[in-house]
Amino acid sequence: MESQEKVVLSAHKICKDYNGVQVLKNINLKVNKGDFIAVMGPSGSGKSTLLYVLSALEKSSSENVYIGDIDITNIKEKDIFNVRLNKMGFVFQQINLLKNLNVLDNIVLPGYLNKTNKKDIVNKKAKEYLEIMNIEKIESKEIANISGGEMQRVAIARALINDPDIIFLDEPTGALNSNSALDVLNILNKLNKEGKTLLMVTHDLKIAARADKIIYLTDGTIKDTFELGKYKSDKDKIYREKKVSKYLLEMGW
Amino acid sequence: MISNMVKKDLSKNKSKNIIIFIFILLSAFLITLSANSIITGTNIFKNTYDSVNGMDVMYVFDSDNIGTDITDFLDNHDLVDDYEVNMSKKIPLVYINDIRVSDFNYSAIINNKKINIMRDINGEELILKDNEVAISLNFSDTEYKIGDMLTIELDDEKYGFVIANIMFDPIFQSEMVSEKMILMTSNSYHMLESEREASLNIRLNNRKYINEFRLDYSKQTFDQEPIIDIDYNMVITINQLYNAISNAIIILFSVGSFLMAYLILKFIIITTIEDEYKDIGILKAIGINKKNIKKIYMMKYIFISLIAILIGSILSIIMSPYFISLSINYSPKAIFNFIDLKMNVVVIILIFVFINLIAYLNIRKINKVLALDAIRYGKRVTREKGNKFIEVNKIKTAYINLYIAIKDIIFKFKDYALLLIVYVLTSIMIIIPINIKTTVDSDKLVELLGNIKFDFAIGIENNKENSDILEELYTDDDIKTITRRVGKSIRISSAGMSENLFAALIDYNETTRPYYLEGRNPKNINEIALTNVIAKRYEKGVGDYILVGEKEEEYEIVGIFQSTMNLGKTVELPIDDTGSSNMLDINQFDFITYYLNLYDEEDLELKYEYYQNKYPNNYYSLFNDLLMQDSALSQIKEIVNYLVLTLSIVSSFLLLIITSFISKLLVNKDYRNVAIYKTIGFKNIDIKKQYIYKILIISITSILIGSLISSFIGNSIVKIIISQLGIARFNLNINYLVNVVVIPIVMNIFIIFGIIIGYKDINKINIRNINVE
Ligand SMILES: Nc1ncnc2c1ncn2[C@@H]1O[C@H](COP(=O)(O)OP(=O)(O)O)[C@@H](O)[C@H]1O
Ligand SMILES: [Mg+2]
Repeated sequence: MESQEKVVLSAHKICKDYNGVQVLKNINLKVNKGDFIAVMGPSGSGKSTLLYVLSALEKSSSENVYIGDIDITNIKEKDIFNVRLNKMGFVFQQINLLKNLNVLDNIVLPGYLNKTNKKDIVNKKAKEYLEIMNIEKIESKEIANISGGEMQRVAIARALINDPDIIFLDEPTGALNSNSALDVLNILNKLNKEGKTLLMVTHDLKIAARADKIIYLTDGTIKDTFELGKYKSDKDKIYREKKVSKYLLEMGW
Repeated sequence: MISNMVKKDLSKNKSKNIIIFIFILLSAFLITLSANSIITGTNIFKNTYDSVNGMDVMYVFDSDNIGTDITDFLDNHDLVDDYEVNMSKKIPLVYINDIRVSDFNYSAIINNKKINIMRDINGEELILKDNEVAISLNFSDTEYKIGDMLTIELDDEKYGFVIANIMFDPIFQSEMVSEKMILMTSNSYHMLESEREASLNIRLNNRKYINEFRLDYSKQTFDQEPIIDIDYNMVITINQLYNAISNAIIILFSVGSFLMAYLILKFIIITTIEDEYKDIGILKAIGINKKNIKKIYMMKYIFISLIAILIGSILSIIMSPYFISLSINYSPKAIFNFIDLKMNVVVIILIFVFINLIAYLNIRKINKVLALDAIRYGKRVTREKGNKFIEVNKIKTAYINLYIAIKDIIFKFKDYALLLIVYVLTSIMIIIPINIKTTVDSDKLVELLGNIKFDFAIGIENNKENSDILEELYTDDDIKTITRRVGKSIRISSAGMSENLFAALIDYNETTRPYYLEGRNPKNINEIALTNVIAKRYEKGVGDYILVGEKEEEYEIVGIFQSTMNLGKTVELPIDDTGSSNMLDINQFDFITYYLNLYDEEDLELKYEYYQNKYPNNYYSLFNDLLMQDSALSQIKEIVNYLVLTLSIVSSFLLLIITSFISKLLVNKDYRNVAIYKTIGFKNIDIKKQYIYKILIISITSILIGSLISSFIGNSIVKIIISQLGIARFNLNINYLVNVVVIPIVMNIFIIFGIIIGYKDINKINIRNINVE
């Protein structure tokens, strides 16, 4: 399953400027199904912008950005929403849950937006994810009453509800304490193992060490990519972390 | 440092600050406008009155001259400041551009020098050449303009003049009591030979002593008896009565807009502080103390409000005369002179203090900002109670946007409650004036002013030659009721005070009875009914007694009614079956007016023509011309219509901007959620739908509440205001279809436009807004 070379995202000459200032310069990128890619780089290098452009949350002057076989640089606003709804999931550093809804409702909401989904199936899937994330007990709690780590797991479950082709994560553990961060990481690895494709921005080498590949960004260009191979088990952890640490030193981290 | 931070805030939160600025400007505008309308509007009568040195007491004589016994009395009276005798001549026939104008009696006058000086409608002096005249504002129903030819016909002699100006009579401002006068130079005046009247205008040292003076005057035995006597209090009462309806509307509108301004400001300030929770927390975290943080915010509000209030108030002072002129027969240019600048300064200061007080009270919430919460969560962390209202996973997925809207309203009910009150207020501010307008447009207004509605009237000389027409009238099957009425001056006295009043003898029947404020119409000998004006002056009520006639017979007061006829100087006496009362015998009168009501009003013109053609010698008057009622009423109607139209436009416009600003604020306040909705796949249109639902749920509910309030207690509200203004009786004509269906629909259309203008920002909100590092 994991060796199937199915391309879920391919982009050529990604360019983005803010009022004439180039933030992303001619980036080419390909993500295969089942990849777990970490995007690293100094602050302000354009990591977040890259995610926003790839998901058409921001308009860009890129040559093309294919999600599956749809070029999202040239489609109508209306269709972008459908792509975003069905093909992508998002998890951010700031916890972006809707405070006026409870846990379960936050998760099922994008599921309901897709009119072809059956409500019961969405609900069933949501409960499964709650279990996978180990948060089934808080199902009907209000967002204000759960912890940061729980919130981030809810956000991940929400990102998964429509079985997206790719999940974008922008520093998903940035606001969490180390224990909660570890929980989240384990979940990400577990999901990746099950075939989910992840594209994650991170600052943390321990987290990056969990990815198959690191893309290092400086000044809006890819300075280098570093192949790590799949994270198999916790045995490799220390070794991988050392490798990444060394690599980052080379990159001038 | 603080001023630097204020500067930064002003440029950083530009759109929010612009909203605050515009709202403060608007409320300053509305409050100043209302203050000027109420204070200047209600005082304008007194002001114009004083500006022309209006009389305190006036006696009118049907003679050429006033005897020295009277002038000696005045010269030596302690209370008299000054007096002036003014002559006028009766003019029966007047033509404008060779077309005869109406049947009323006109009079030619010369301008007074000291008391009751006539001015033009701009409040300026009237200067005329010998071939020129100035005529009263409400001179004729037919069109006329400055430059037209006015011809006076006296004893087959014609005198031509150019209408050089329009004259405004500050004493008898309302058309109901105004006379139709032709002002000319004394050269021209002396050319005319006609019946004369002399009016004696008296100014007292102090208006408080009007009653004392009149009492003293009435105790004298002068050679000449006045045919009518009027004083300042009566004129004031009648004129205010006339403006009461429009003033009531303005008062209602002002109170409404004031409350609205308060609510909206509070809303904006609370919103901004919540929005800036994080910034405030950061300021605290870097060690700036509470006091200084509050100072930054206060400085900002002081700065914005100062500019906004100045602009708003100045605009409003400039606009006020135009607004006031809608309800008063005076030109804006003249009204401007009466705008009380001192009062406006006080109002501006009060608005400033008030706004900054609201700001201060709400800014105190900064004390509760916790640096840590603010930095970590961007908000105050509270343990929120779950709101177990239906959950998404239990509803039909098709209603998701509606569901989110409802849930949001419940979640942030505080915000939406404010909006709810604002809409309730706006709907009351629109619906009640419209109800007043429909009431005024209806036949009720006639009753309201104490007069009886008739289809037409025929004046018939009381002699045998006219028995044909009387016989025909009384046997005409189309005529429902016939009411005879005659009138005569009659002396009334009580507790040493006495005066001549107009006594109407009316053989009322069930259908033509006027409405009595208290009691009933007089039926038996020695019963009398008074107007509320007279009752008030003599401090009498139903059941009291008053002395009538030269013989001072005791009459029981059985009813109190409202009438604007003869400045309210009217009493009613009964006529028994034989047509006589013990005071007056209707058969002794030369002339009797028969008021007729038809079964079918459609026949009116035909019936009128029929009688006019068959008996050409009698005096006919369609109801439309009766006792000047129609022109007076149409003037009130016109004023109320203009006013209500203007206010409805203003309110609708307010509704539009309030809605657009509030939706803009709500969207900005919710930017975090909006951004999240977008990232998880909601389309812009979905999010917009949510806002439309939210605001429509609020607006439909509140407008319904507003329309129910207006329908069920609007009448009492209007009655309370209007009774303060002199109208003793008023009943709103309420059209439930208009109140509950038509107006709410129209209002909601404006609201939808407001939302559409306001929620544009949804397109701009971006995940960047919440994920800045
Ligand atoms: N809305 C914006 N307008 C102008 N410049 C922006 C905007 N958003 C981001 N930038 C700039 O783009 C660059 C890349 O930002 P970002 O992608 O957030 O960096 P990071 O790699 O830290 O996530 C930064 O220099 C940032 O200042
Ligand atoms: Mg970033």
